[in-house]
This record gives sequence, structure tokens and C-alpha cells, in this order.
Amino acid sequence: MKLLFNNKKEDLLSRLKKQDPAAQRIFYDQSVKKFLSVAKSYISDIYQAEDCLIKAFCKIFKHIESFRGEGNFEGWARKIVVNECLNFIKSHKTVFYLDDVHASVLEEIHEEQIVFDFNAQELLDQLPDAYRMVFNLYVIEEYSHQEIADKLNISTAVSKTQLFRAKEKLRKIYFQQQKKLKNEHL
Amino acid sequence: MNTSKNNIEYQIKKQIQEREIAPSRDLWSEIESQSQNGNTAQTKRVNWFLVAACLVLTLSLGAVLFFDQDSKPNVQVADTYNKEVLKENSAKTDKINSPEIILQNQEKYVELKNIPSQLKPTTETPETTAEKKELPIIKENSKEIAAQISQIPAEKILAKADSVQTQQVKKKRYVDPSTLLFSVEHKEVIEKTKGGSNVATIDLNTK
Repeated sequence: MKLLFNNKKEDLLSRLKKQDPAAQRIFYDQSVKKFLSVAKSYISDIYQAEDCLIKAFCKIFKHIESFRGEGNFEGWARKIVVNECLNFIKSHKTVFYLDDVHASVLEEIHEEQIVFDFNAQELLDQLPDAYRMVFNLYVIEEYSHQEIADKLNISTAVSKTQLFRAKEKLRKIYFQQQKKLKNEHL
Repeated sequence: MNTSKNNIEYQIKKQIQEREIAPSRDLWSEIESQSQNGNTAQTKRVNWFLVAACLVLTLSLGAVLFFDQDSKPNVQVADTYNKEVLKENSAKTDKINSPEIILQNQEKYVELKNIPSQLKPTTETPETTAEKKELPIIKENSKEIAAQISQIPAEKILAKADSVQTQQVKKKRYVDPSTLLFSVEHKEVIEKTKGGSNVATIDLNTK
């Protein structure tokens, strides 16, 4: 079964490289929902996220020849989606990166146990763009601070600061939501 | 990174990786149209390249032709330099009715030949051009030729085969008066060959 699945993927990839419209449609149907979820984590507006996704798909189909088969094809395509979202934020919004925080402050904050369910998108939507970009790249895409710094043209120190502030902000928002929920239960 | 399953980051990551969001509109049609536009844009680019290539070709051809035209007058500058000599020669050739003038011209030709090598090309060209220009004038001015023939002594007359001239005459359907006059004056000398052409044999020693 696994072999058959792998063969199907290779076949789809070879067809995509030949610019086969049917294969492109299959790939779109398979990945559009996942990729829209990724795009939405960077851009809160769904229409803007969809616009980015359209551009990202066009780029994937156009530059598919540059994929050399190193690693996962979906991961390669996902990177294009992320890059497209970052480009959109950079070009359409003014992003402010706040001053560095002292290194001693950037220690892991003691985590309280998360008891209640919460909507991750609601939390992310309340983050400023600079915080959200760094947080998503570090936590979701698992980039290093150096990679983030290279991608966003900032220093690693600024990347660390943004992550720290993003986490702090998320915690604040989360506990505010929890308080509200507790009050509603009572 | 804290990998505790209960921290906020982990929960956010988990939720985002697991969730799927359906698009609110038909994205596929837009992707298709955009990719088609991209393809047409590529073809348009190719057309522009073709147009540019054609323009370059036409411009280069035009430039080559233009410079060719420019180079021709430059060559003629040498002729204009010799026009003075030509004028002198032409003024004198107008009077080519007597053998004395021909002799004078021949002497001058010899003199010109003796001029140093630096001036040779400039002096030779007008001479040759003058000769070239003289020939048709002599042919056309039949009266002059007739007079010339009568004035030139029989020793210096070079009899030539009329085959080429007659062929030209046949083509033009025109009888050269000089040949007509010659044939009238020297009827006895003219003989018909096997080829049908008339040949005049003249004894240059007899007066």
C-alpha cells in the first residue's frame, strides 16, 4: 500500500512538472485547505489570505521545475505559501519591530497548565504583524532565529525579542479569555 | 523551545496543523486564469523579442546601405581632384580632328606615364576615363568621324573586321554612316567571307 501511495505521488509530481492541468487540479484539491490554514495563521483577513494562496499556487506550478526532489514536495510548496504571505505583509503593511529586550528577560517563562480549550486563530489575530510572523515562523514552521532573521531582514536579537513579546502577549490574551469564560460559567 | 504539551505555543501549533479551512470562493478558476495570462504574457514577450530583432536587422541594413552610399562619393573625390586635368583633356579632345593632336595626346600620355608613382593613380584614372568618354563621342559624331577618316592618311588607317559592328548594327537596325562612306569609297577592297561578313583588306603601303 505504501509503495503504491509513493508511486502515485511520484506520478503526480512528474505530471505536475509536465504542466498537466489535471494533475494541477488534483494537487490543488489535495492541498488547498491545508495551505489556506497556513496562510490564515499569517494573514487574519480570509480574502487576503486567499489572494496570497492564488499567487502561491501559480508560483508552485510555474517553478515546479526548480524542485529537485530533495525532501518533501508538500513541504517545498508550503514554504512558497509562507513566503508569499510574508511578502504580502511586507508590501501591504508597515511592520514595526520593537527594541531589544535584555537577554536576562528572555528566559523561558514558567508555563501554567492550559486547562480550557481555546481558538488559536483568535489569539493569533490579536497579535501585531511583527509578533505573529516571528511566532509562526519559530513555533509552527520551526525555523531557527538565524533563518527568521535572514527571511525578515532583521537581527537574531530582534527575532528573539519579537518571539518573547509574542508569547507574552498571547499569554495575556489567553488568561483574559479564561477569565471571561470562568465568569460566564459562574 | 518548551515542548510541554500544555503550553500555549504547542496548543496553537497543534490546532493550526490539524485544521483545514475551505476557501470562501472558487480559487481554482482564478489560478487557471492567472496561469493562462502568464503563458500569454510569455508569448507576448517572445513577439516583442522578434519585433526588436527585426528592427535591429532593418537598422543595421539601413546603416550598411547608408555608409555604402557615403563611401562612393569619397571615391569620386579623387575624380573631382582630376577634373581640372579632365577639363584640359576634354577641351583638347574636342579638337581631335587632326593627326597632330592625336600625336600630341600620345606624347602627353607618355609624359604622364613618366610622372612619379605617387601621382600615378591620379593621373592614370583621368586618362582612362577620358579615353572611355572619348569613344562613344567619336562613334556618335559621324560627321567628325567621316572628316577624320578623310584627313587621316591611308597609312594610319587600321582596317578592322566589321563583324562586331555589323552585329550591333543588325541589332540596332541602324547603318553607321562612317562605314557606309568607307564601303562606298573602297568598294574594290571589300570581300565577303564564308561567315557572310564583309572584310576590307587594305594595303597600307600603297598610297
